[in-house]
Amino acid sequence: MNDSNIQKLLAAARKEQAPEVPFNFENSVVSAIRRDQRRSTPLSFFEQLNQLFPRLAAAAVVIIGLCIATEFYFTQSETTTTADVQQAAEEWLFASN
Amino acid sequence: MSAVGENETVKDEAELLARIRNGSPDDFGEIVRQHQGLVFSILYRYERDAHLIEDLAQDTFLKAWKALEQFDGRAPFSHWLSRIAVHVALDHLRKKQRIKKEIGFDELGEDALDWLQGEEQRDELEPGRAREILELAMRELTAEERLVLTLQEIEGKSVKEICELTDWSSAATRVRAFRARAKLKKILLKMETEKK
Repeated sequence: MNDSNIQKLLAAARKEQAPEVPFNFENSVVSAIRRDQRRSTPLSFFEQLNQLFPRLAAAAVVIIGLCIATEFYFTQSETTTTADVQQAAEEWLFASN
Repeated sequence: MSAVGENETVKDEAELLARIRNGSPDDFGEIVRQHQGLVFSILYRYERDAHLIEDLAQDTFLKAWKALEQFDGRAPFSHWLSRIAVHVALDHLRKKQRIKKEIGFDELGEDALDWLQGEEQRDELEPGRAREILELAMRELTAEERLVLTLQEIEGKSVKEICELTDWSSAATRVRAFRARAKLKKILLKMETEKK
């Protein structure tokens, strides 16, 4: 491509019009600034705790679920567990004698 | 604008900015309204997607808001804001460059392709088509080369103005502009040959 064509290309690109600024653009900037300010403001202990609440609640539900499952398991296998414990105790007593 | 008129504007801006520094982001909305046209007119040279241009413009004003304390009021606010917009554009070009680099002719419209395949002396080209061709060709340039070429060849800025906008030295600007022009010529020649 020769220089004259390159100049024509650049000259044509120069004429391109800038797009219209969207309606209410300044309001979206102000909202973005407010969001940014909220993000960067240091949080108090209770605010941080409040933010963590969903995770803490989920962790508590998991722990409670595990406890119930463990309890249920041991209730079902009570005889076996008791027998195991008894055997272990007798072996220990026998071994000590 | 006369020197007296310009001084008045700078003074009014300084007063408005002093008010904003002690006020709320709502007051900053007035500054945005006054300068949004300028920011969009800088950024659209580097991005074609209207939504992305809006995001970049928002980013520019957000950066300006955060750095407002650094504006000393010695020059018009628009100069300071233009520098921020140019830096936002440069960061955007760097990100874009990491994503895609290869030239795909399928991205060109029929008119743009016809022009590329044309005779030695070609007709005037519609601005949008010229932009398509340049956008594709500049994809092989570095972000800095693209920026300097756009500022100098399309926006018609002088080396001094480019130095002020980019914080580059005069020598670095000249070298980048020279390399960018040579590279663009080579790429356009390659595109023309591949298409014929």
